[in-house]
Amino acid sequence: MGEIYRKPAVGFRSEEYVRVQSVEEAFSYLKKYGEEARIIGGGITLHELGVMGSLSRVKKLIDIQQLKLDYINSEDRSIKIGASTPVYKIRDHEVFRNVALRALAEASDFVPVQVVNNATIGGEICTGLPILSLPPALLALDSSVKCVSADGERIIPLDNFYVDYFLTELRSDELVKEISIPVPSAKTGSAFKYEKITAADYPMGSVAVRFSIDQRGKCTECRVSTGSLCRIPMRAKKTEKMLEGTDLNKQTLDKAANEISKEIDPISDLRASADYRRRLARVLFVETAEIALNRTKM
Amino acid sequence: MKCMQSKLHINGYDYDVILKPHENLREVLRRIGFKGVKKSCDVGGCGVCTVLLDGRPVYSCCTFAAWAEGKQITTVEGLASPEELDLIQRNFVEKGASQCGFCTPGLVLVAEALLKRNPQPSEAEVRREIAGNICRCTGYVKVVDAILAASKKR
Repeated sequence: MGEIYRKPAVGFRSEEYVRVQSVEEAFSYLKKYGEEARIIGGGITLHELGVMGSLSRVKKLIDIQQLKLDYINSEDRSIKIGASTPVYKIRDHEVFRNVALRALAEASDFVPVQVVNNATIGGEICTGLPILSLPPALLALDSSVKCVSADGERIIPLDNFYVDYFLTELRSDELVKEISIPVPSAKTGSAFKYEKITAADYPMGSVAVRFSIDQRGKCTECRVSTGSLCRIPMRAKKTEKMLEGTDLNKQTLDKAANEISKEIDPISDLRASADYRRRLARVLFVETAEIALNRTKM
Repeated sequence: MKCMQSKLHINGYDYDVILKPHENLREVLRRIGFKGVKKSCDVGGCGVCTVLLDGRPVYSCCTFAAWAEGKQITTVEGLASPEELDLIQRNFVEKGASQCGFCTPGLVLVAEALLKRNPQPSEAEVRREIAGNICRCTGYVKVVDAILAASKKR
């Protein structure tokens, strides 16, 4: 017992916590300290990793609350979400009640509420973990990420953003400023679904689907993305290609379900084996696709 | 290490505190004397360290103390007046929804935030809301009963 209580409260000891007042100030810290600096989104994953002792290199913590990146702007062609926007604001925002964008609202509505209230969209993306909920939904909605640094800004499609477990395209001198989602065409529906072992755990697998159909009911655009199944949140592009241009019905969805279970390269971990995840992907895909398909007709 | 002076607004009072840069909110609150904030899992999984930040429940073990500067922090000590328990606390007592009591402060705060946002929740909504708080004694039946009873008396 004594041993446990002598353990330090956090496994990492940063040297400084800075609340930056401007983007330029954040850049100067990021440029100077690089990998030794970390931006705080909500701080949850940072604490989890810190307790496990994985953040011994981190010396500076950068708090970007003063940069006013907490906004959801609905424009003509796209919806812009500031990186510091907490997940609960996305869950409750009326823009995402629209059936075409519903996947994002569903992905934001996870438990525990304590995490939903503190986590930010920027943190969910930049952590680079496949098990978080928002990335697959954002992938299905064709989002792009605006990364800014002292050298300028670049816009990366979220599809190209993830490299590997915990590894993203974000350079150490950059910060994510904004996430932009194009407004989908009419007759579009999207849905997100996950499967968990216990209520408050990370999912074993999650799938987001978006369908756009034309007047005759043919699929004009299709997005299928997975979370928690593979090493990164990723799109199932072969499955998408298979469905585009076809009539969406039970047969085509079943055929696509076979394709997705073949296409993905799942991981084995303490939550589920790779084989289980392959089967799970098929079931989740069919269920999610049916919801999305019904929503296109709303 | 660069310690910093900060002002935290806890239960309606301003506290001047010295913070270590990496310190989490739970450590600071317990140091000041708010022992209703418990310590258990350290990684945001059990819910005993729940506090309200601007009226919304968060895990204080996963929140940087300096992050909470400028926000209203409410711990379980801030709910009741010296004379009388809060409505939810009274219902927890009446329904026997607490055994060892370690998870109770977190559950009471989550219930408080839920009833403020949604005064008449269904049982399913209550169960979903308390999913992030683990109780290892009683199970959750009496806790759910207590929260539903409180919602009816409001």
